[in-house]
Amino acid sequence: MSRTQKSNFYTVRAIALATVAAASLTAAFTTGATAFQDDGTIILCSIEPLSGIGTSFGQPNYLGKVIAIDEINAEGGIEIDGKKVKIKLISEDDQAKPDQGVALFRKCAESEKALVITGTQYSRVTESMWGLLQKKVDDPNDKGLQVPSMSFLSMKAGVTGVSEWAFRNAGDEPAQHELAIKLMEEKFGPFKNYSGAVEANEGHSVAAWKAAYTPALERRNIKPAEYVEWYETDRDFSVQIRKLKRAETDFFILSSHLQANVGAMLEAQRQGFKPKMIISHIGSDAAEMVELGKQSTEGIVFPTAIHMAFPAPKVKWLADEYKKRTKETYMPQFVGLGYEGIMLVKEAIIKAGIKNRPETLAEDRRKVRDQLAAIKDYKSFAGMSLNMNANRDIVRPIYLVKITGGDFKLYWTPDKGFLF
Amino acid sequence: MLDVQDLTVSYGAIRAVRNVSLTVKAGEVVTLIGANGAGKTSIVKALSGLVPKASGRTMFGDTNISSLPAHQVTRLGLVHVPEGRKLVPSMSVEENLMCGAYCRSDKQEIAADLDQVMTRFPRLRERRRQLAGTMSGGERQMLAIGRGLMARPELLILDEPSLGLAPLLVEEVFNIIAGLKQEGKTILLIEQNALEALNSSDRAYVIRVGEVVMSGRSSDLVDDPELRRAYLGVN
Amino acid sequence: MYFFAIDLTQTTIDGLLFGSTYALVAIGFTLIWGLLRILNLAHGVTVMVGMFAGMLSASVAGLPFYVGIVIAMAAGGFVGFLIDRICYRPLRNAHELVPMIATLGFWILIEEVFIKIYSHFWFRDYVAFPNPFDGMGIDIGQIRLRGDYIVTLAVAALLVIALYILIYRTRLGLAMRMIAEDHDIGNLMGVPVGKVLTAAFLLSAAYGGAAGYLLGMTANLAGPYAGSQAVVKGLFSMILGGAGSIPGAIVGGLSLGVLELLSSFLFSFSYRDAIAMLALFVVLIVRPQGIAGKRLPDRI
Repeated sequence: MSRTQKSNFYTVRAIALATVAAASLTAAFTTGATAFQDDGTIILCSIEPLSGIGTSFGQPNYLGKVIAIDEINAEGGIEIDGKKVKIKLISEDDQAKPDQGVALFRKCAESEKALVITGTQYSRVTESMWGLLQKKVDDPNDKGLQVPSMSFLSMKAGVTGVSEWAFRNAGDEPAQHELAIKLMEEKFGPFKNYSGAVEANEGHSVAAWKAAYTPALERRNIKPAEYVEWYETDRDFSVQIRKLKRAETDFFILSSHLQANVGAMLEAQRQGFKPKMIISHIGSDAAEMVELGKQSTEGIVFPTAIHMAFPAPKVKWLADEYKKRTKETYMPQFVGLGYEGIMLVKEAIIKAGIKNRPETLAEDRRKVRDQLAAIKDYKSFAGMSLNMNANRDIVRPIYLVKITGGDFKLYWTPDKGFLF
Repeated sequence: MLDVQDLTVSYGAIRAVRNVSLTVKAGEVVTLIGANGAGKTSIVKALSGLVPKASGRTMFGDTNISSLPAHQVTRLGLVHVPEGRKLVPSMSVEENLMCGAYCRSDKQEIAADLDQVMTRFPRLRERRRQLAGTMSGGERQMLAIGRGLMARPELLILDEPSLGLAPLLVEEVFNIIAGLKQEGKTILLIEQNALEALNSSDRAYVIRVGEVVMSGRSSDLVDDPELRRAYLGVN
Repeated sequence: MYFFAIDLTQTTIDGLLFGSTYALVAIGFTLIWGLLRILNLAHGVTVMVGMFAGMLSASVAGLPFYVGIVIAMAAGGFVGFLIDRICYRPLRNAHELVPMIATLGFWILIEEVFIKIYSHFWFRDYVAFPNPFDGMGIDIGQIRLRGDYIVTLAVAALLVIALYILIYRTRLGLAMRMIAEDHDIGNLMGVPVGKVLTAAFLLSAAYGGAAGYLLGMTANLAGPYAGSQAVVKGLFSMILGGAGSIPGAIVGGLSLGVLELLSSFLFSFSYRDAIAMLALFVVLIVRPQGIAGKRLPDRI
């Protein structure tokens, strides 16, 4: 289904949803949010796709946040203005729908009076939500929302450019993919035919192709032997896979999310299309790839920010905690990024020296924003050191994962190189 | 056989039929005459259950059909051949006739009746495989009446059977009605063609603006000077 | 050039085979449109429910394909029964837009509730739908007919034949044809119109359920949005073929399958839907009644 068709139904659906949203907004305004210093709480909002398309990314990220907040609150909370206050996390489900995300973002900022809004996952939703924000701080003519918001990974490169209130902890995608291609060429090259497949109605996959993969190929003077597109809701991939096969693709770039990846790779298996190398991005970091794709997804390599095999003991603790809560044996990077993100926000809140009172909310939000913008040499639980760059992106080291033996194995690290 | 007391039919706020009482006895041909829009069709639609009866009491034989849904009224033997024929144009002639026997399960007798109807209307036998939508007006009316007969009616209601037909065909339709009358069929006939209707019926009711304004033996009414002036267009 | 000819043939065949699922969905729309002149927008729910009933029957209960598809049809049929009782019956005397809007509401409500329930049980965007025919197929020279696609076409064909027998050889079919022309004809011939319409909702929904099973099986996946996608494809097929005509639904569905894959193959992937829309537009200008629609008011 194309974006236009989809937006058609969403328009229809929006009518119904708007009614519900209006009702819930009214309810929120009338009951009023009771929190702040006197009640001993501080409010953070979390917007994630917790149901529908995007569940595979949103749920793990949300759980990472919840684990972090449970840990902070178990220690008594954060010390603010000489008093320990607990974090109250208000969780919202955007279902990866931009219209829903926008309504929820406004609700978090205005009626919930959140100090910081965390989320969301899908770049198309994040971009829409952040469109509500003031573009430049201190611009008196811009009446946009003034609340710091941090996405613990909307991968679309440059998405924080929308507003100076927007932050991202996702890594530098062009650098990630350049590194992945370079390492694979060194180890397995040379390759003859580079081809790409892009999920054409998914903002991040399109952006990754344009801003990361295409420049990487151009630097090598390579024109893709074949380029195909599909949509996340497609059920038949026969034409695309056949074209890739006919082009004798040996280096396959899969810029697409698991919803399509599984179907496409199953079709590849059916047609006997087995390129020497397949690289992908964060869209492949989901248990479905091996559970549903089975043998067909073997050998896919993609970059990651955090992996459960990292040596830092806190990472293993987090993976155990995640398993305890979900019974999932594989912890995708979203869990660690969610956990780490809340810890980053906590650090910024402590450093900001806020008052946490209803009347100081605007001031407090600004102070936290400035602290987020100034993150430097922050020691992550996962062992690495993090810095916020001028584009309000966290700069972090790159690791590679390979799908091997039905599992996501850590494949390459900056300090040890290839692990197998 | 049919006993209607104080029947009223309303479409929203409009009362199309007001306190109409009428009877049809077994073996009789009764006609409702009146100008276009007088409420004749509304009366028979209410009788067959196509439109709800707002008030009044309608007995068909021993059964109170005042609030019975249309398909059950049909099953009792009150069969309504509606204005405009209402055939299924995409079905063949034979299939349309079989629609009339929808409620019956006696296969052999259905086949016998089908044969009988086709004997009565030889045109239908000639065209049994032809689609109803391709037939002429007169043939369609024969088909509609034939379909009604396939239900083995106790009371046959014919709503405007001559409407839109050429004069020669109108005559043929009234010949058919005369034939049915001779066989002893009970018929309630609705007609704008009042003179022909009176000539082929036993009794008549004159309807004006939803009310019965006159009733009596057809042979008396046909001579009534006022009626002649108002409805028959003759002096 | 050699490969091009082979791939063109392969793509056309794949499109025809895959298009049979679209045809099944379109038949469901067509039955209700033909009898009631209502776009049953809740039809996608039957596809989704059929898909999940089939998935559960195959993966949890381990039932074979032919049992699973019957279960999927029964589950879909049950949804059809609900659509009749909730969206149509109470509103049958209202303007025809009212029950249509009710089906829209039913669709949104059930889909949203279903997604919540689904997300509670599965920590996944999609769940696996076992495909017993995966890897099987028939090779004719360089052309491969996918086993599961052949099964899909066979099931669709069987269901279409069954539908034709029902419509043209049974009493229920006779009643449906009367009602399709005019509800009053049914009433006057003694047909319990309400019951026949309930049967039509059940039938249409059972076909939706079967389509759900086949769509899930051929993709090896079941997802909660399958219904919404099916609504778009099914409506498109119905209009393309000729609204309200069963041959039209079949022709429309198969054409859409071929059209989608061929435009991907020949022109562009990203303009695939646009090209399909353009084709629809052209067809409707040249033949407003659709490819196989009749000008006569032959409604089912």
